[in-house]
Amino acid sequence: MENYKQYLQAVTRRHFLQNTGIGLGSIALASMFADRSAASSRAATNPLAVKQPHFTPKAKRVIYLHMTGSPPNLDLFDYKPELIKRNDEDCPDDFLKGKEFAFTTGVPKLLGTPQKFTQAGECGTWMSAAIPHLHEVADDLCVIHSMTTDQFNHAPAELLLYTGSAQSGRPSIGSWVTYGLGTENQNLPGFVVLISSGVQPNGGNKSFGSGFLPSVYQGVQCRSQGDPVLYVSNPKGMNRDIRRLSLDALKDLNEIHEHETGDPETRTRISQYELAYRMQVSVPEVMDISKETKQTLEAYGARPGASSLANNCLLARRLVEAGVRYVQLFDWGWDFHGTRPDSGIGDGLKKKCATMDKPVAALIKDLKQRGLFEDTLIIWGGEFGRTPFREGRTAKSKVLGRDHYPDCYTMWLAGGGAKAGFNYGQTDELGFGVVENRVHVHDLQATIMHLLGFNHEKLTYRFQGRDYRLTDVHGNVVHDIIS
Amino acid sequence: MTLVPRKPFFVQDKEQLVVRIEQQSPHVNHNLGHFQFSLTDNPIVSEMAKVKPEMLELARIPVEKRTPEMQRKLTQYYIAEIAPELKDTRKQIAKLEQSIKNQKPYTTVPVMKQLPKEKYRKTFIQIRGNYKSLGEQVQPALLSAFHAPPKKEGPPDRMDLAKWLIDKNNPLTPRVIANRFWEKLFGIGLVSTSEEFGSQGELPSHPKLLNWLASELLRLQWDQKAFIKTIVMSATYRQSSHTTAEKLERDPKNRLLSRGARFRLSAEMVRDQALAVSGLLSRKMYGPPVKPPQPSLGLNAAFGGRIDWQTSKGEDRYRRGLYTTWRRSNPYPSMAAFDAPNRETCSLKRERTNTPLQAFVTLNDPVYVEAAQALGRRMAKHSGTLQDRLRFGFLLCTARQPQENELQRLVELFNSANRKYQNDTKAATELATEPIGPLPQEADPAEYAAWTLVGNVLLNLDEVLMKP
Repeated sequence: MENYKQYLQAVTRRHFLQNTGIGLGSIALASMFADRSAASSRAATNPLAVKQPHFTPKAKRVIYLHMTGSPPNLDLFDYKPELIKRNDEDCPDDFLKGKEFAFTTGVPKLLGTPQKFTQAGECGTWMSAAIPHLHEVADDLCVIHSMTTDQFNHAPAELLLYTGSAQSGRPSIGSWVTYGLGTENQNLPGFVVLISSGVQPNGGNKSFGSGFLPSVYQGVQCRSQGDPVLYVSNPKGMNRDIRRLSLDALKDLNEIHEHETGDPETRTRISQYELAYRMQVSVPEVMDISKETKQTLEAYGARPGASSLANNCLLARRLVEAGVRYVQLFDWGWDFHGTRPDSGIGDGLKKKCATMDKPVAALIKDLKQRGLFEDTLIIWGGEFGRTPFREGRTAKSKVLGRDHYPDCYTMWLAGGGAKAGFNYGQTDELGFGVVENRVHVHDLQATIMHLLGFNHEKLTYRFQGRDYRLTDVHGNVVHDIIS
Repeated sequence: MTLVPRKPFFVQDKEQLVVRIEQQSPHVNHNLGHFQFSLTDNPIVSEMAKVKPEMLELARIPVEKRTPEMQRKLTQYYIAEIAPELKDTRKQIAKLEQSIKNQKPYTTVPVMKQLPKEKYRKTFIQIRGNYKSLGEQVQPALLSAFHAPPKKEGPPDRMDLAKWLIDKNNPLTPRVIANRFWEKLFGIGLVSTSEEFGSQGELPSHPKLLNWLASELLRLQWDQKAFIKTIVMSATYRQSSHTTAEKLERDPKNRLLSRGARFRLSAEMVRDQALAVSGLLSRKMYGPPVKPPQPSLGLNAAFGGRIDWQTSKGEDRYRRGLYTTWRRSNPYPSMAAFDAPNRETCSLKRERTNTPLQAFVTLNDPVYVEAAQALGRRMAKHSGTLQDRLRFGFLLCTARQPQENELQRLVELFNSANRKYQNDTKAATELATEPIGPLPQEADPAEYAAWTLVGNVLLNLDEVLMKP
């Protein structure tokens, strides 16, 4: 019933008229989507065909910016003057009782941020000086200060965030979205993954894997060096004419055989080979940023041929512009333990932020300028938070660092139906726990699915006798953050 | 005890031989009691000192009084230790034994073994799956809804479970196994949810057939080869997979078995087949996993080493897909494209998708380019006319002769590719040699490039990628 109401709310008169133009069937189809047989019979013809979600979505596509390792919330978005005041005091027992940390035992010292905080934008969101460019887009962000997760180690936390389960084996969000929506641009993959800073996400390919969903829904990693998509390039010595020559022969031979066998699967194969041929052009084209204007390249800090988060932010825009539904970025190097100068929350953090701050702000501005911001959901964050105290191993070092912390952390959303210039949830004065509007990762997942037009409880897949969904048996949509 | 000096020595006149005995026992009171020395220069003594005392004793028993067992022991000992004519053989044996000892195992094989009773682990219910929140202690038991386990003292162990599973009163196991074989051969099981026979699974399409197959499996005493033979020799299996619009309408998914099964090969089979028809496949069995070529990604795994690997040398490059190194966080990409499971969870059934990324693999992955080159060279080497060679390649890949129009299309492809490459020797050489290696002497690069192209097309035929 709830679902039906949402649908009615979402469908405006304009939508209704548009839909009737195509026929009332599409409305019926949308409400029928929960029916597995309808979904699977369509999938049988082309698993990536465009499908309608359950109700009219606010977001049509997603750019997920993952800061692998988890950036320190207390040094970027969660301003705690009380913690700064009590810097270097023993951490109160109450906060430690019954808890375990990755690298800290005993009684650690409280750690106030070395970063300067100011209020940004008309909304007055507190932000640190490490992210000056993001200050400029503060009024576009929906900052959630009350995120919480169950896991305090990287790989399980990342898997929980992306697949809804800390154990491997489940499909990632991007796969669910592609399974539910198909691909808008048939000449490109529907779910693209871009990795920067030279290291995979903590969960390896599992963080963008399709789990038990058909592998056609897994994230396709695109690269700025070598083949942009694996094996997309013809072998050496074979140009496009010769490829065409061979594909023509292949097509003719397959058609002769199709005539014999009458198997429709052969027709599908022929069309997949033709699609591959078109992708050989469309993929390198979309991955080539050299055609961007000098201003754009400069705004992002992108450089053709390089491999960087800046390039990947620009690529993300190009990909969504070309009709890719879900673009997942992973940038390694946000695990600020203070074990090296680079991983300290002082200068180390500033240095790392400099590679992220500018391109991410540029991405938001660029999407706005192109009219894509409103229906593109941008998500930024790590897999958990970081402690309000000094990490055990580096407690005596000159470099300040924080341990992993699952209880509270900050993420932000932008565009795609998220409230702009909005702060949601609160942590206590020392940043040890959520005191208002807790958002669990399952709630975030439910909300992302909602913004994309899905009832997260209805988008399911039957595997080994059970209907599975991204949020497992959890998740509440956070309606308060939706515009 | 006989002591033999390392080197012979002589005691001259007025010299004394001093024998010192050191007591090194930790038990200071255990001194030697009555003992006696005798000296001899008889050479046979030093020989006898090398012989095991119990064998000496046996040797002292007169031949006619020895039992056959004693005689056997003596003979064996003589052959193994003394016989001078076997000295070289003994040396060789010692050397071989040493070399066996020096061999390092490739890997260790973990063996599941029941702990002794006093060390049985205590098992508790974990409340809401939390290993730190324990409930009642539980004991092993078999499912009471099914046939009763054989009567026995105490809780059942693994062996009881194994016996219970294959008990002739248990119809479930043979049904499940029979269904799995059926699924492998027909692409879909009689019970389509092969991983789920419970209340969440689907009912069998042909329940009586499934029961009969299960009973056959029992009758054949689980002889899998005989069981597969039964299925593949059936009229149902041997039907043609050719279909008609009417059949597609009435039996779209072939659940009624109105035609032979036609479905795409598994990821491993796609690879193995390409290597096999091109003549590259190594049939070497066993041993550690190998690393066939995979594209270098230039990435590190999180808190781990490079993902890229050094390609295996020699024939290991061409081993069956089964032997490919598999990292769960980085599955072998070309097989992942063909729905090889990521091995994160146990998966019985594979999806079979049909995607452009698969086309990229079989068209462009260097593994398949090399297979196309090898297949091309195989055809080029074959005797006869151009048509004969193409016929040979087609037969290798599809196990049938091409029809006239098919052959004609391949001739056309070969000729136009050959013509095009005549003007571009560099490109021709690249296509014909990278990565397989230099052309045979005096070979025409354009011709070999054309053969490679034909090989590439043959390996990508729908008929080749599908089970016919």
